[in-house]
Amino acid sequence: MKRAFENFIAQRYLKTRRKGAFVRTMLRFARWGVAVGVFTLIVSQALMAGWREGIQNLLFNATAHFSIHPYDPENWDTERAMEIVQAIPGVRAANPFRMEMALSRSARAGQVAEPLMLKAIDPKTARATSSLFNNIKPIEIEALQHGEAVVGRDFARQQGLRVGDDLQAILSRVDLGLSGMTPKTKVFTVAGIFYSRNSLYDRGWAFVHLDDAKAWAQSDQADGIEITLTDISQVKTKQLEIKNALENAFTQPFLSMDQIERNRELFAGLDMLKWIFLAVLSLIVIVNASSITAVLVLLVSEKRRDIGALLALGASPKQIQRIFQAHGLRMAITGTLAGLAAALPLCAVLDYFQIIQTPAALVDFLPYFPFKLRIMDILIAAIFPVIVAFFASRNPAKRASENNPIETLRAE
Amino acid sequence: MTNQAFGQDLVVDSLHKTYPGAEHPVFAGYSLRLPGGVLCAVVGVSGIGKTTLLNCIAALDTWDSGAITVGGEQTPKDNPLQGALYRRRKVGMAFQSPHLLPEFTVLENMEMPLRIDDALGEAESNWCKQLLELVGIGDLMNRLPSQISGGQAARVGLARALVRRPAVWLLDEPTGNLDPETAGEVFQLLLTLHKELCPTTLLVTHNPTLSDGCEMVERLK
Repeated sequence: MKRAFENFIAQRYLKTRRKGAFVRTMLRFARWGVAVGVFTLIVSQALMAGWREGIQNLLFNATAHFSIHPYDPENWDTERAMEIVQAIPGVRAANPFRMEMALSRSARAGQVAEPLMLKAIDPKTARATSSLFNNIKPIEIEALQHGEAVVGRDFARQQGLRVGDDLQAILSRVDLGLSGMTPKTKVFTVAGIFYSRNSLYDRGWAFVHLDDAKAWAQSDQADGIEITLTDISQVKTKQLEIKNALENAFTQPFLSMDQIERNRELFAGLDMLKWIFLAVLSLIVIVNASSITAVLVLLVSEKRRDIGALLALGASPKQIQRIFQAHGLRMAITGTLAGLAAALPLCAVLDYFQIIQTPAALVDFLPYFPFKLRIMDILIAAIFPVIVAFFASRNPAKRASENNPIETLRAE
Repeated sequence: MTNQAFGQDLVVDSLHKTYPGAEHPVFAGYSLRLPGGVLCAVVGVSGIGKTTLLNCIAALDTWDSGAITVGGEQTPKDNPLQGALYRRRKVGMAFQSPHLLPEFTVLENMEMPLRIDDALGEAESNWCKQLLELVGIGDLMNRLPSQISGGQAARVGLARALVRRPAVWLLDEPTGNLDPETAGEVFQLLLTLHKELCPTTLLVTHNPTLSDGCEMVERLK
């Protein structure tokens, strides 16, 4: 639909420098208000997305993307399952594992025992499933031997453990001996210390050889397989595909869980926080965009004479309405563009150059404030003020169209 | 562009109109018949209904009963959209104040009736320029209304009303705000334009000199 006339008038009204200081100030206020609202919306959403992605990366890089477990671990063949998993396209790495909770302490220092998750892995295939194995000192994970353990930095500090020290672990299993049931205990030699930047792992996890775990569990099988994909966005689809393949092969149900599911509360909290930010800042945008109403009321009042003349020249009331509607939309669009022009490069620069550093307490977790721009967030921030402006300008525009040209022209 | 719409017959038939709350009607069976292309002055004391008559013919105002036709087409009543479309086809109006839009240049003001129709092309723009030349301000076309004199603005107002080659040219005291000398010049220009383009013209005026220069005089009582 051609709207050349309406746009021509609206554009000129917007461009013209007015003599009336009040209308000019109001016009500027409305445009800057929209710009500031859009700017705040973009920056806050980019920050929220950045934090979410940062946390997600931390979790996904430290462990595999997801793990899959049989309901009956004694009734499957780990090696065959590994072959099936590795044959599925999109699987970058897979590693069998067992998990065992233990109360652990340094044998040398007589420290108080702490709960420690012993994750038994196959050293030959483990590296590709987690970036955590890249930060072990002094050994490489492939060099992990039977009877050895790799502990987290925080746990080692807490227990005063050094490489070569003994680590005593009381497993959540019992041995039946002459004196009755006694907890199963194991002693590992600390072969290395890892640092993942995630205190959950650095304080609460240790890695041991899968064969050790098989021995104390008296089983030839692993508990499950953890899997890393070439494309993280395919986690859900690949999870289902692998689960189906294994269920078909072993005729028993499998349970699969990814890191987002494991940390459901954390991600739900982050998502809710993002929506709260969006809602609060949207209110600011609504208030700012609504000031367009005030500007248009003033403008319609100032332009009564022009409106009368245009009606007398043959403009229809609808055309008059569209002129002021277009004017309101143009104010919102220019304000939005200004907001985008300020926010997008700022977020890009802050993120690229990692300018804003996190406080000392968070440095290990995320060293800088990440700003991740997402298309959907940008679209919401760009379209929302325009929609608000559309409704904000409807009423004054309608009033303008109801002007009685006879009265306006007579008033002259 | 063609001149076929110029100067059509104007017929006002038994017009009745009373303003809400008024004791006396403005028109009680008023009739007027003007042949196409005539220049008619409308005179009468203030408040007699001269401007109301023009507004009714332009479909800006409404009336109680009766009919107005221009070139056989009935003037719409109580329908803003039809009224607007009718004005575009049939009517050119100029007022005591020229009502030029201050943000637009003289030429843009001239082109405004065509822009309303989304009918502005190169030929139409040239026609606007020709009209401006005809009223003697071709060299001022790029100026803003604030940069020209009252007399020059009045000329633009007169010329703008002719841009769409209207069937009726309704002029509501177009010289009312001007000094006698300028008013005389504008009136001469008006005569020239009428002679050149021959629209059916109604000129509301209080100036007997102007009304004497018209082909017909309609005295409202």
